[in-house]
Order: sequence, then structure tokens, then C-alpha cells
Amino acid sequence: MHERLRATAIVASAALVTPTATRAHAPIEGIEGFYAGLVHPAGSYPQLLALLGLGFLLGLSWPRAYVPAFVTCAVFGLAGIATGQLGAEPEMTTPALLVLAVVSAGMAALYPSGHSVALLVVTAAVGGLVGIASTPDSGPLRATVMTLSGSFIGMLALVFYTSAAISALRRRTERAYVEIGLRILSAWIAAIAVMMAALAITAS
Amino acid sequence: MAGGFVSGFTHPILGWDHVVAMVAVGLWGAFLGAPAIWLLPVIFPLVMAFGAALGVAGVPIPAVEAGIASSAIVLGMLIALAVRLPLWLAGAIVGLFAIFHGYAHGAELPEAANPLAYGVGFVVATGLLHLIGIAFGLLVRWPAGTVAIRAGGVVISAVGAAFLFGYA
Repeated sequence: MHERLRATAIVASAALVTPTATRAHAPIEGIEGFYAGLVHPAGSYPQLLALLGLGFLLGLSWPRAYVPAFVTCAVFGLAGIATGQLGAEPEMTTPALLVLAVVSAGMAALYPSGHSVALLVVTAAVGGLVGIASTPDSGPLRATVMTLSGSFIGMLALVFYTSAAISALRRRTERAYVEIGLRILSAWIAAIAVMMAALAITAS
Repeated sequence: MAGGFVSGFTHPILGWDHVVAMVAVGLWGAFLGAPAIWLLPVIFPLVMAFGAALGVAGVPIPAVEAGIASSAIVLGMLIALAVRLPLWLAGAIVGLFAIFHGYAHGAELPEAANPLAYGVGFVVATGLLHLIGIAFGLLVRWPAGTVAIRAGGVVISAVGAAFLFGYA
């Protein structure tokens, strides 16, 4: 059993650090390595919208399934990074991420108290796709590992800080208009994602 | 980036037919009270974005401008007559009109210098117009405020009619 686990870990680690063909790139000129990975989720609008939508959903549904959702995001994010390194096509992730942004932000706006299973499914999908879309340019092994580490932490930080800020705002104010405002903001994110998804789909 | 945002932001607020209809959504929501006060401003941008997506995809929708003007007339009348419809019906009416507004804006999205910034500007401007309507609608707590809101509904309808019949 331990041997099998060790073999699985070696394969997964190899998949994570094996450089693949040139695809993703640094979102800001002059920033490379870990920091390029760290800002990548915020510099790529499909990832940003999907992660913001997820952050709003987790924040508005807090404390329901928060820890399982966060762990799911991390696990599927790692799985997505591994899948990207194994050669998945990141080009296909843009419309999918935008559709997920519509779903997560739409759920946050219309039905934040929805079913926990739906919440976990959306979280897993967002984490996995962001992981795939984080595939860096080909390069030295160390640079690839640093960039992927930054992307992974950047993804989790964006979800954590968004959801934590929203849940803290809700707990501290407990005013109806705060909840209304946050749900309207979620609807705005979903609306922007709908239009960007339409553009991405028609362009492809 | 800034040019795209400004272009999207000013698109809804430079057409009086858009402005009065979007203010009317917030106004009617506040007039109806919870949960319409938040549900209508949530439904409108979501459905409007689907209308914009139809515009981006080039799906033909007839009489878009007439639909926009009609939205002001109908929503203004509903406010002026203090009509309290069931929530689902209010949402359906607002959603139907949102498609026309979204289509008009969305048709210009592919030509925008920065489509993302344009989309953000256009959604934010729409939301702020709703908030203006909601703020005005909070006057419903006072009898004189209710009269002012219903008078506002008459003005909104009149503006819509002026656009529909070519006077504006």
C-alpha cells in the first residue's frame, strides 16, 4: 500500500514539474518565476472572474461547507496543474472558466444558501480549470516549479481573501443592505462573465 | 483599458431611454419592497448580459429600440399605478426588457477597444442607475414620498413614449 502511494506521489510530482510546450505567459512584463505565477490568476480575466465568483459564493454561503470547499479547491487545483503538465489544452479552458464564473457568481447572487454538493462541484471545477490554465512557458525545471507554486498560492489566496472579506463584512455589519449589495455585486460579476464567454465562444 | 471602460460606462447613461428604464427597475424594486428590492437589480444585469451575448453572436432580435422605449413606458406605468405584481411576474417583465437593453449594448462589444473594460463599465453604469432608482424609491416610507415616486413613474412613461413615437 505504501509502495503504491509512493509511486503515485512520484508520478504526480513528475507531472507537476515536467516542462511542456510554450502556452501560458507572464501577465506582467519583467515579473518572472514565483511572482509571475502568483499574479497570474489575477492577471488573466477568465481566471480572475471564476475565482472572484467562487470567492463571493463561499463568502455568501459561509460557514456552510467552507473548509471542505477550500480543501476541494486546493486538491483539484493541484490535479489541474498536474493535468496541464501532462498536456491538456489550456486554450479550451477560457470559455469553460467564464461559464464557471457565470455559474458561481450566479449562484452567489440568486441562491447562496444552495446545496453543498453543488457548491463542491463548482469549487472542484474552478480549481481544476485554473490549475490547467496555470501551465507556464517551457523552461528550466526550477523556474517551472516556482511558477506553478506561485500560481497555486495565488489561486488559493484570491479565493481565501475574497471569501474571508465577504464573510467578515457580513458578520460585522449584519445589515440587510450589505447582503443586498454583495448579491448585486455577484450579479455584476456573472453579467460580465456572460458577455466575455459569448465573445470567447464566438471568437473560437 | 480606460477608454474601453469609459465607452462602456457612458453607453447606458447617454441614452435617456436607457437611463429612465434602468432607474425604473430600482425604483419599482424599492416600491415593491423585499425581496424585489434586491431581486430585480440582480435579475436585470444577468438577463441583460444574455441579451448582450445575443448581440455579440449576431442573433437578430426585432424592434430593439421599440423594446427599450416600451420598457420605460411599461415600468413607468407600473410605478405610477402602484401595481404590485407577484415576484415571479415582476422578475419576468424586468428580465424580458433587459434582453433589449443588453442587445443594444452587446452589439457594440466586439468593436470595443477593450471588450472586458467595456463590459465592466456598462454593467457598473447599469447597476449604479438601479441604485439611484432604489435610493429614490426609499421615499416610499412617507406618504409624500409615495406621491413623488408615482409622479416619477409618470415622467418615466412619458420619456419612453417620446422615444417610441419619435419625439426624442
